[in-house]
Amino acid sequence: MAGTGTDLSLEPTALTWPGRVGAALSALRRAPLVTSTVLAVLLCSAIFAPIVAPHTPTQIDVGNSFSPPVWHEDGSWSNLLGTDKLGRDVLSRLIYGARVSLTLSLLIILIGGGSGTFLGILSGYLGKTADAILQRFVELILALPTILVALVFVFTFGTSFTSVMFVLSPFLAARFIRIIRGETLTVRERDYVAIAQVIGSPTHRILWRHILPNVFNTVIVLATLEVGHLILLESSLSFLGVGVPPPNPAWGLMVSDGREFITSAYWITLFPGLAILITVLSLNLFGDWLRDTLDPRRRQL
Amino acid sequence: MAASEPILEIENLVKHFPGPGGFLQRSSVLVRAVDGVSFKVQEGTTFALVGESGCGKTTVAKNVLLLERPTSGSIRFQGKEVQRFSRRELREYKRAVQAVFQDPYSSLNPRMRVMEIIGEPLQVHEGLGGRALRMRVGELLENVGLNPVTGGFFPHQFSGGQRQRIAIARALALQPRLIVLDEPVSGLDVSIRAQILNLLVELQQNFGLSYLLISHDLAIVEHMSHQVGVMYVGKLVELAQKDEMYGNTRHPYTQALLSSVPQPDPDIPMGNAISGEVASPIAPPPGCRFHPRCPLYQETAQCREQEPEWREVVSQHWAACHKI
Repeated sequence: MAGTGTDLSLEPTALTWPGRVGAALSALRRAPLVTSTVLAVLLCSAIFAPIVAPHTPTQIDVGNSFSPPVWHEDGSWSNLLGTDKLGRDVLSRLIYGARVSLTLSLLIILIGGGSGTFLGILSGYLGKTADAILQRFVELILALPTILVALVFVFTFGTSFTSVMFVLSPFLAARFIRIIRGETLTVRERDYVAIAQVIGSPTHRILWRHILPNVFNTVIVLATLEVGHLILLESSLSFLGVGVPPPNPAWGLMVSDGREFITSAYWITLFPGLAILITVLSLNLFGDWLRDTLDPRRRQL
Repeated sequence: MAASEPILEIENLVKHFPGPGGFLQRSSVLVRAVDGVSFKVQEGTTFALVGESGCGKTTVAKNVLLLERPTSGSIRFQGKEVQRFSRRELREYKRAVQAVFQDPYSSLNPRMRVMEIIGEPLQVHEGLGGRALRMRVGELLENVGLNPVTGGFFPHQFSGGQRQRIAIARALALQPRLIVLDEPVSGLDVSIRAQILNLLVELQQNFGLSYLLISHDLAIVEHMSHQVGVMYVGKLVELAQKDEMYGNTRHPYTQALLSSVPQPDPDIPMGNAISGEVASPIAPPPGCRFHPRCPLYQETAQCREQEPEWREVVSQHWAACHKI
């Protein structure tokens, strides 16, 4: 049958791969320049830490302790940002610290965010009893003071990278569950989900093909924003001595180490503090930008 | 017309929802969305369910599509009770009964390509994939008047009318017997409504489809349907063959609805448009539900207190009203 005659005035440009890559690139070009640069530098230094860092971060040189940054009269080019009380190079420790902070945050995002997304979708889609039980758990977790629980947990199981990971993941998961559940509740009401049910699509298919892709923007944005939050948490924990154990270079730990000497050797605390500030700020700004970009109502295509 | 077997029989269908409840307490009120509705859809014909918004016609559709479970009453498909289907029968039912919804922007997943959207029922039921799937989707696109190359596009690249064609192609994919059309053109520009309606009529003739058409637009109903049922606050008030319904309207509510259809000739005076609000399905008026708005109501206790009987006023023409 010959249809009833509509012309198909479709532009096939957005279909081809070069077109899509181009679109992605032009979107990236509109990204906030400062923020992306900061994040790129951070990421590169974390990945290539052994190449970039001028010294080994744990190398102790007591004879060279409290050496000030290079712009001071008695500063040296060998330690650009000075050294701490054990003569370790602050810059190298910052660079390796980025590695620790980012790895930890990304792992927690993967574990906590991944499981939170999964449970949030289940909770929102299935509703009823499963939803009610899960939401009570979420409320419980969200009502707990994170730092306090982490303190107790780490004192019990010892300070280590994995302890921090284990104790922070549920908190992150809870935040994901809350938000992704809400998002799922709106997507669930779309007609294409009802049609999939009418067709008889199995539940796992509906979750995977219809719900997940339509809540994924939120997942990405949430993950970006939460990385900043996690770095802050990890730093707080390290500062309190229950984070990543010394002598690993973690930013929070560095701030804590330099605390006693803040009047005489400010650089030991100032630079890791600045690193935390700039990183978290950049991640938040980047997350805001990402949220706006992925929101179809704000996207100009 | 319509001398064939009924494909869908709905008998005394009731659907009550719990009403708005307070904080931490169960609601005590019931929303009587559908309160005893019976009709039959004959094989190969269109049954139209008409009424103002909130009268429960979409709830009937959702019950037929198994998106809601009826509070009571029965739905029979090809003579078999839907509620007592075995797993295999249920699967067959989901093949045989498809739907097209009102909003073509909400009924297509924005993250899937047209190929995947139309292919989904084929993948789920026939495990089709690869070339076979692409061929079949191409055929379906041609059936609804779209170019098969559009299979690679995303929904946002189409206009509203084209999207509705895609939704129709998806509904056709499994060669269904019955398609529930819930306001299929209400979301579209007036200029393309006729195209979609003609397409639906054409497909019905070519594939021998039966339609359950849900609409509030009497002009569309007149164009498409063979039988018409008029609903008011959860109940049918009149049911007849289309020509009988339009030529020999009995119920005052149907008359009011028909006279409120705008006429293209400005010299024809507007009929007595119905006044007042649709009654609430939480607390429907006692007696005849329509009496507070009824032009025939003359303060008689009968209309106020006694529910009118559903009776055959003329052969094959049912209505519920004390005054006729």
